[in-house]
Amino acid sequence: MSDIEKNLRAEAKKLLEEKKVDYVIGYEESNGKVSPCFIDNAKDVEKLVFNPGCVHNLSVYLLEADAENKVGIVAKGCDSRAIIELIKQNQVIRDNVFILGISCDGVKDLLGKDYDKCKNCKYPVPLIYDVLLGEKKEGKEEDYSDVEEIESMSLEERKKFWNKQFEKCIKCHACRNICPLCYCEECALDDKNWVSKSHKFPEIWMSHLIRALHTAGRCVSCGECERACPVNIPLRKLYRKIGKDVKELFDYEAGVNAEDVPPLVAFDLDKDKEKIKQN
Amino acid sequence: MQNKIIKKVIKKDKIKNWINELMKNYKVIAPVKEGDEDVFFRIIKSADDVCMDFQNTVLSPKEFFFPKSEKIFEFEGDEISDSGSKIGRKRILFGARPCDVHGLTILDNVYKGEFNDPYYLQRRENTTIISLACSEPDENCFCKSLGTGPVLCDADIIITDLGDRYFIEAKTDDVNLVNFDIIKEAAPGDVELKDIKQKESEDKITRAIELNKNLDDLHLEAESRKCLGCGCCTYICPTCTCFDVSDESMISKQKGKRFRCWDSCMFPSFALLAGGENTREEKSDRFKQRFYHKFKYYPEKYGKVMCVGCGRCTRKCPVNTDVVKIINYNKLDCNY
Repeated sequence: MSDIEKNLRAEAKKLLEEKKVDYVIGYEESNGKVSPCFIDNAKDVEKLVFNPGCVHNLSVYLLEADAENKVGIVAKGCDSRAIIELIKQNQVIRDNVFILGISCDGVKDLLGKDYDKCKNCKYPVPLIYDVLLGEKKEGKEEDYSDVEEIESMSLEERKKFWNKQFEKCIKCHACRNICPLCYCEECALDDKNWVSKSHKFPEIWMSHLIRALHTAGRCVSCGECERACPVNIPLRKLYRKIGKDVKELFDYEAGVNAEDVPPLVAFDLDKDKEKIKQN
Repeated sequence: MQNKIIKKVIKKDKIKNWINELMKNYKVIAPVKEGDEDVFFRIIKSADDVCMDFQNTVLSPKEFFFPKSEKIFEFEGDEISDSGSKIGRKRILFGARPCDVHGLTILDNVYKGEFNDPYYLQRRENTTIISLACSEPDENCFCKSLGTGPVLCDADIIITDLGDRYFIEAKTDDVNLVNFDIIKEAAPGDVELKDIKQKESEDKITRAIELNKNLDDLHLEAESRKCLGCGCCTYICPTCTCFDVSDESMISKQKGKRFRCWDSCMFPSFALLAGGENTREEKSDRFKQRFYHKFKYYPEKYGKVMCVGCGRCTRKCPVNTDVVKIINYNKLDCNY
């Protein structure tokens, strides 16, 4: 057992025994596969694991917590950004969460391959936590080469590329449901007056583009949408493009600094008009 | 089965020639590789596109019988035009895995008999199925415990990998599909080797789902806690049959179309009634419904469970919900 795992269990046990939290959201393992789990009782903390299979961004479960619940949550660097953003967007009350931050060495899929998000991970250490497990470490430089590759395509090529990808979409909404920042109680994608339920062009484009634009300034690039997609649409490329634009236009990176005002809140039509035009 | 079975073999390097022959008279739906490792069923334009080396396709071939969305009719003013779906050329579904062929027989029960679904049935009747037996089932497969296996299924023709050649079993009705010079009569050794290969792949399937469990004893509520409520498991399932009917209309021009599309019992809107009442409001209610439908309601009506053991839901669930683990749960070893 790694030190991180040992300390994680000890911290979780303490939290539950001292009744500082009602439950802890963490990871468990069965049949060689890791999945999210909820520990309600201190005697169950031995179930908790932390290993390279712990890819899930557990902060999505904070949205289900009742306002009076105190919740402990295991968070890697990327996951912590979602928590910051959720606090900022008034979806989570800071005092209601105890963040068991983990300094992450990267996570791997079942075949042992690194996830793309880990290859250029900027924030391996959580940006918000109550206790940090593991040593602090440096992140990598921002690398948008995946987005630039698509930006360099002609309009026709890009359209062909995304058409081929979106044609695969079965509208299972796994990308939306796994997204911690998709917290709307009523989603435009469920309203046929906004988006038809058809899988045909152009409806299928509308579904994806509405979501992409709607998560602008909120998407923390955790890559869960892409991982959840059963037909492997490279959604992270789409959302990172939006993230890159938001960064360039508003100098804003979601979930990094709790003090930064979200661009949709800070946007000033008169002041920002020129900037938008130039881009 | 009344049909006599014809046994033949074809060299692997002649498979494309065979598909080319079939394409002369049929629209052929076959596995095609897209991206690095994903294989999907597509209507092929060339035999060169066909991929014979895959574990299973990302999606089952269900969508070629029950499309993701399909037009039922169009309307303009008081006029209603005929059904959108027309019977096209005769089709061959080539390379479907036995579990997915089994999946179609489960859809048949719902779409045929008590109510006949013309859209589904015309596609089904118009399609001959050539199944490709599995030689490398993966750790999530459990088809053997559900009455089929990596080879056995109700396809019109089944082909099995023998190394440098494929063994072909065809019903006599389909003799014209295997009557080509490139396809030879099977030798007794081929039949023997086929049985060995079949046994080998059957032995690779180590998972089994327990049948006739009392679902009330299971921990469905606890298991539902991590469920995200997406429709992934239902849409990739070869046996899920639910759909919704919807209109796309341009009120200003008084015209539009009615279509149907896949729907999922995992979505809150599925059980939403007029007036705003929802019979399955909680995520746990919806999660339970999926299990009760597959392992209780359907079996009560049709005598077998609504699952073929393809393992897709377990493989693809973003939070690793494992159907076999949930069903096989034994309250005596109380692992919760």
